[in-house]
Amino acid sequence: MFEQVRRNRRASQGFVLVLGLLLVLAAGAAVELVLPGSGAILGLPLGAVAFAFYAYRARRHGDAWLRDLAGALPADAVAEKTLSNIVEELMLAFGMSEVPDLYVIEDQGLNAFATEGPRGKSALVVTRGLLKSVSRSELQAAVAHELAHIKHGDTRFLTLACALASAVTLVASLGKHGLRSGVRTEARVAFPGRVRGSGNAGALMYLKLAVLLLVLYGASRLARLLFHGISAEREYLADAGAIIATRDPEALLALLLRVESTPSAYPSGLMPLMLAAPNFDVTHPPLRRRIQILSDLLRLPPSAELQTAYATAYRRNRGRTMRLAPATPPVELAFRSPRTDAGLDDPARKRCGCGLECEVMPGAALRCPHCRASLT
Amino acid sequence: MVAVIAGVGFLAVVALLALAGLVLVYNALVRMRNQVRNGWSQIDVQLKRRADLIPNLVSTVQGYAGHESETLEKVIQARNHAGNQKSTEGRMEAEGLLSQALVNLMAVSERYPELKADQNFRELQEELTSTENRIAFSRQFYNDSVMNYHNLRESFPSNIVAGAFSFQEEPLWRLAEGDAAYTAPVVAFGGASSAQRG
Repeated sequence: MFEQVRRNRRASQGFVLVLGLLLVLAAGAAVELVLPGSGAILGLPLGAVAFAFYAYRARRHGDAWLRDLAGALPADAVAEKTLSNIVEELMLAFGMSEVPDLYVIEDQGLNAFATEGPRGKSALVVTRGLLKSVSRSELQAAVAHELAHIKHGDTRFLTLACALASAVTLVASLGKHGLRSGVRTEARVAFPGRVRGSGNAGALMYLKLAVLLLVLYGASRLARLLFHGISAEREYLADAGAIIATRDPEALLALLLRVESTPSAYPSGLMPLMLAAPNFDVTHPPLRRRIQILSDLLRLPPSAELQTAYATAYRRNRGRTMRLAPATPPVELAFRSPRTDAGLDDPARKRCGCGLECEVMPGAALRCPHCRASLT
Repeated sequence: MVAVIAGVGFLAVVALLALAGLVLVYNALVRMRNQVRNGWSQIDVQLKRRADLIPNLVSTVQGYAGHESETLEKVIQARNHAGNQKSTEGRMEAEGLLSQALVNLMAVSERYPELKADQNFRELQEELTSTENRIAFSRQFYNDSVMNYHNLRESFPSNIVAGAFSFQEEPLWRLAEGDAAYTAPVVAFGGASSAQRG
């Protein structure tokens, strides 16, 4: 698992470069379409400058910018005592020393994300809904998932990548805007004008036009799609990291089930950072899959459970030897933090037809993780 | 002549590599041992935090549930007993008893709706929950650190370095039989419920 985390770090650097390339290409295409012939000399350097500028800005201010986009406000440490307690508890479990700043989004949905700014200063953002309507252990699971992202180095990378992806979108939309406005005539006239020469060169021109338009219109979509490969696996890893810290897979399972049944919407630029995408989104593995892994995990005896969960999660590792976290001797799995859910509504315990006993918060609907029958 | 130079050069390279390996392993051992010690002091900090919470908790519960004096007395006794321990093993056991006494106190307080509604009590309860979690997590981190340290200390070839520089074994913090944190998982499939909440 920790090798996986290291591999991801290397992939991160590659991904930032790919995003940069995409940005440069989009700028080149945009300029070439608006001012034919000057794409290579003007557009590509312009794209490179934009990349350098955005990478710098994203490193310095990307975190604050993303928090603003989400409408997150600094949390009052006294009023959100439970949240700050949970964060401090988990810092001990993760062996992390720098406490992240806490922010709250005044939104009833259930979600959370973490950002990382300059000098490794991280921040944790949770929705009001998460603070209000889940049990203490579930809130702990959500926070642990985000802290695992921070610990794995995903947060720093995703903060940068999200900001860069938005730069790609910006450049592409500027190009499209240029095409649609007055400059368009020049582009339209210029291309067929040159095409009217010889047959071969003409075909080449049309091909070039098609490629340029494809780059311009596909760039931001491609950036988003690229996130899928890069961030889906990190979600499984963060789930695993959260379980290693809390030793409480049930709480994470309960949380994901609750998130699944609570529809909510957030700015799409933020999606790759979010705890979970309740609606289908390319940046996250389907929630159903994560839920499946966790409920598989809970049905197995302790020693094999993490092994199997990881094996299911990391399909690409199938057949290779799996190095598990060295810090999970079986005796540790018997460790359970006392969970008293103080200060929150007491969840009711319901027994499902299949024999599984679940916690159900008052007024919330939950489906049985085992047989998926509805428990109310 | 050339053969001699090549031989000496080869030996020098081997010696350098061995030295570099020694330095790396030694430093890794030191780093891990320091992490273990830091982990231990973290547990200590959290146990003190819990001990500081108890007088306040006891006086609050007393206000609403005065005739539960036996339970309260046990908590105070366990706290003082834990504070007086000198040996590590004695401390571990005494802290386990204190955990048990606190669980009993919390179970008793369930019977007093007015106490449960008291804002001060709710805050104390949150603090106590948090502190218990902190103790559990720092203990977990400590044991994980010990595990990592032992893995390196005992595996080849780092065990040679560990032996030469006498890196000692560190104790794992094991749970006592009656400890609150020793309860079985909450989820039970079929059969009787094993739900136990601390």
